[in-house]
Amino acid sequence: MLAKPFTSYAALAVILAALSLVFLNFPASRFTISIIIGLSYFLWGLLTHFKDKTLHLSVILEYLAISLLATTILIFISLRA
Amino acid sequence: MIKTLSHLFTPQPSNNYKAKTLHISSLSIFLIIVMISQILISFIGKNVPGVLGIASSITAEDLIDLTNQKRQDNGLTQLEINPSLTSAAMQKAADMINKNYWAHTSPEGRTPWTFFKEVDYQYLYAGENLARDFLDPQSVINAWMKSPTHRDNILSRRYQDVGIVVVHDTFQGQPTTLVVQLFGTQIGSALPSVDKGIQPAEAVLAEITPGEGVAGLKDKIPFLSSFQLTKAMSISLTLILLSVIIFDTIIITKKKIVRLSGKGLAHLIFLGILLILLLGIQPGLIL
Repeated sequence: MLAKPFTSYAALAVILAALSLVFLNFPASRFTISIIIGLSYFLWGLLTHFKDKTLHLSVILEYLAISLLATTILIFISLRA
Repeated sequence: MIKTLSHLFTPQPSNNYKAKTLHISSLSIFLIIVMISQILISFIGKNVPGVLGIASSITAEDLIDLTNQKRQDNGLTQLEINPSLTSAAMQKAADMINKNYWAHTSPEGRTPWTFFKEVDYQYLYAGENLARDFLDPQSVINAWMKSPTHRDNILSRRYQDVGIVVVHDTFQGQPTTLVVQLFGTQIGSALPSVDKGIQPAEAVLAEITPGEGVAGLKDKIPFLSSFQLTKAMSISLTLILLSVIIFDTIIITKKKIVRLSGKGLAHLIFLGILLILLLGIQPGLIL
């Protein structure tokens, strides 16, 4: 029972860590990577809650809001850097 | 007061067992605040000189010293400062600022070599390194040394001369420190060059200070970096959200409250990664 969510969280952490390395090491691609990071998290949320049968509009909007907020922050900091 | 704070930061019946700060409406407000603050920073940066910008400590003298230090460390002769190359670098910087491009070749197709020719520098070998938005000279050199092509320019045996300019100006809509470094060897020069004694940097280096040379330079040095301000604001917001999520998750788990919501641990991982990125990001681009 514990293995499934752990794998899911581990996959999220690995994906985000890999994208973060690209973000920090390739300044020219930061804009694109920022969008990919936000999109990855949003899709991860949708997929995980879909599997759990807990995918509702409020959950979708929550992931959308957090992803959008993080992406916006990353894009602006990249533009200033 | 305590009731309001409790409503904002802890799950309870009044906020449907989810900290109000984590509601979609609150997250949307944060998003709007981030966007408005960035528009304001850009507006102030453009319209109120001396308030926001890049508080850079980069000087051409430091860059030439560090470049020659790297060459010396690798057993190479030191580059000599060439006034013609410095003039070409100045023209290249002015061209980028006036025509608003960040590239080795201008939108009209002018290559770096055009600027060499315009100052009558008849080159046998020539190279160009560009950098922008760095805060100190060591960071510029470190970034160039990490890039194979820029490193090749700095450590090339083919070059004898160098010209560097550092420009502080508004570039592509934001206050910027722009660095143009040109390398060259003139036709007829013997390679490898013999170290003839280096001309003092102060003599010919073109450190463009505000109000000189290039059109459009601002008259005041900014006292606050727009990058550092954006970074501080972003880190603060991320820390607030992380704290609220941790607090919210602990209370929900302790009280065994079942609610329809996103996964707290996932939000923590995501915002944790965001925090690491914000802490790790450094200003500066090279080309």
